[in-house]
Amino acid sequence: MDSNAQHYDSSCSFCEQPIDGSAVVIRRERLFCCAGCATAHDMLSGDSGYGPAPELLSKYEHLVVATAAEGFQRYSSTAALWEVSLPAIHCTSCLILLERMPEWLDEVTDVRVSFSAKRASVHFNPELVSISVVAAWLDFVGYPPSLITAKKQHSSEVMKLGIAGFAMGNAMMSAFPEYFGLDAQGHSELLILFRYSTAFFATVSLIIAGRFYLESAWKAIRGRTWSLDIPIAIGMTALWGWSSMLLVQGTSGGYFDSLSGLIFFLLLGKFLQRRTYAAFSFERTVNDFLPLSVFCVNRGQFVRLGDLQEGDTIELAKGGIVPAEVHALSEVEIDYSFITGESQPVSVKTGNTLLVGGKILSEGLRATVAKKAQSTSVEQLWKDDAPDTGWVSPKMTAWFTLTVIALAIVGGLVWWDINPTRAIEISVSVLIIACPCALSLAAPFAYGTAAGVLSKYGVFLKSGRGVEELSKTKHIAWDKTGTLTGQNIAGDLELHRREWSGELASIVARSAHPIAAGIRRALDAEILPEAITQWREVNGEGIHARDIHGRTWFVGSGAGCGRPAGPTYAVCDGTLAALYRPSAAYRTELTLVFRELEDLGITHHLISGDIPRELPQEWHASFADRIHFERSPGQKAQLITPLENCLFIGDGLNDIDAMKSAAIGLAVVEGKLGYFPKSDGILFADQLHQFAHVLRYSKRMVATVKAAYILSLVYNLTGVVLALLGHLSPVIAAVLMPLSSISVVLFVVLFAWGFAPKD
Amino acid sequence: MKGNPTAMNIIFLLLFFSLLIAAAFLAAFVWSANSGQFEDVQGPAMRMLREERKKQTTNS
Repeated sequence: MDSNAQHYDSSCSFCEQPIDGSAVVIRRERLFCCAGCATAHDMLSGDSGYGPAPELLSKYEHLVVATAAEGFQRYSSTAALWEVSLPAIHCTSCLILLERMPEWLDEVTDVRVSFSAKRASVHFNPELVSISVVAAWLDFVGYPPSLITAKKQHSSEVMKLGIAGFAMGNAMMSAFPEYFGLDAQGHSELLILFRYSTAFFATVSLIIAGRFYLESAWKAIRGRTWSLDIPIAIGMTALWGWSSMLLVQGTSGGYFDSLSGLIFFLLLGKFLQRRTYAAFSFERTVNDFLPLSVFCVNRGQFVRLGDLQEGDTIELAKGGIVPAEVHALSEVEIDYSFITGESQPVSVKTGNTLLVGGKILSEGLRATVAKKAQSTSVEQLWKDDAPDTGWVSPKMTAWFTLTVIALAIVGGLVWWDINPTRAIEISVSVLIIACPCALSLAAPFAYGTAAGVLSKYGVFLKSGRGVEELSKTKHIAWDKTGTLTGQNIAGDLELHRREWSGELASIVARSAHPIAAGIRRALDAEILPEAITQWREVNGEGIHARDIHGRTWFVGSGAGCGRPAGPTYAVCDGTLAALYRPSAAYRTELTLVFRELEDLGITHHLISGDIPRELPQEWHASFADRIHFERSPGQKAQLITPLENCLFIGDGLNDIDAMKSAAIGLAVVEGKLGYFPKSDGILFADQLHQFAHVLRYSKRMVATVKAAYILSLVYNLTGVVLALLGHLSPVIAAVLMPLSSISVVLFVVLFAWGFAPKD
Repeated sequence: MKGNPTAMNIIFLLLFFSLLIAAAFLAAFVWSANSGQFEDVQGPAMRMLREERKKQTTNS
């Protein structure tokens, strides 16, 4: 193209990746592959100039009152510790960056991250820097502090587990003598000693470790809901009570050894389950998005969200999120894509209501609080968006619990007639052995493992739920630009005003749209970040910008600048600066994939915002007449909504509405990911030809989960029958119960791996 | 029949001491759990990956 292009053969000074051709950023004589690396390097090397803007600093001003910040302790005049919750922590890089904080903020002496708790202990010198500045910096680098601190549990799960294990070991040991034949003759004191010893350990275990189940069951009963902890709690209590009676009567040692074993295995199961869920979840809380505090005009200070009252006048900044339902005091433009998925901004007139979750696009304004900020309403929003992790419905739980309790009672009564001493033991065994844990574990484990396996196919799903959705797919709606065509768009650039190439390059560089990237590649000019003063991208239309010389720019479709549709125009103050025609490079390797997918019963659709272009000959059979061009984002959504179980594959950038209206959406990624797609997952372009395997695998996984449910049902039936027939003792039941869960989990995981591709 | 004292009664003493030692270990475990030893099981694995940068200043 342009022979003046300089090519750098070295690698980025920050990430050490090779720098691709002309896309280079130079700062202080160092080379970087992108502005991101350049910024990160500047920050970490202390060559600053970077830091939180004044608006950000003022957002945390209220923290200066030290009592406002929980977890803050002042040790001396020069040493303070702030234990702050940072929900955005999610990976190794987060930990590394945060623990390097002393390198980029000198007044901070040490930072220690607790990854599991998503918390950081920041040691700093309060004389040199205030807590609000530290908070602003944390927000600036991407980890806004959450002031809603969860109560720290001192009796952690691990400790309870340890105590339960200790109790079980000692209780069982104390029970051995009687197992091995110790009797009252000649050893009555020893017998009593050991019996009471066993009882002691089991009781300790129940009080410290087992109380969770008792409390949970009590709460459920009080709240009139059914909980799976109810039968367990009943079983524990019954066992303890009955054993105590037997002990005091002198009849036998009771079943305290069983009880201690039961409690330990229950806790162990819960612990393992919690750890596994933690590994799968991608949960972000709503607090990540809402501001912590807003400036309240009538009070003259920053106020925490929860403290806002109806009638308060607050100030909302440009780019901020509306934290509570308010009445606007001046006209404003809002982006409600978080709530409605509609990316077109909405103009709101003075006096009208602004809804929570909207993003302010125009200049900041004042507003009156209409409804007190309730976190529940925003959480509701978020919950609608996020997949729920509960595969077991509450109704199923209720039925299961009731059935188990009924069976236990019936069994107990029947046995009371036959052999009263065994009645309680058998009832308890029934209560314990019936475990629906497998029902709630099978799906998460299966889909979670499957999501991991799918990464080998180049598919990265946000949650395991995506696997289930994929298996149900009946229609696939393909976007054209970037999906069916390659993203590294080559094209013809007609440069009419060479002297403006710097500004043009700077404008297109800020967009992640494939066409913009194509123009930038074709231009090969140096990017001047300071040359652009205003910049705004409108989905489906183009980029509006203003440069430092006061010129108005538009880069985009013909519709946006009143010219015939077709090429992409770069217009400056009405004059045509450049013309770009991308060449449609269709991915012809997809032909086979289309046929394979049709064999699975899938119907293909093409939905694009582009002008009509001829499809490759071989594709006509697959798409037939289901080809739609020149559709706006809203129209795309309308086409998709009536399609049942539709998968939308696009670039995740300018088809958010389509993504949301489809049952599941995937974004195709090629090379560097310059943006965060709002899809349910991403798909690597060079793995597109494997997509049929992806769907086949998903269907197999769904079948596996169904098989696991059946397996669990068989376990439960067998277990309950055996218990009712008197073949189980509570401790055997306690061991078998987690074993059944574990075996079901192993079953699904092994199958998830087994169905995976052979490399 | 009342039990006659036998040599086996030493078990009372043995049991007591063994439980005492066990309790000591339990106390140690509880103390470590309370002081946060088990709080962050993933962090140390990631911290390993931190590169040791050459110290530029006397800071940290």
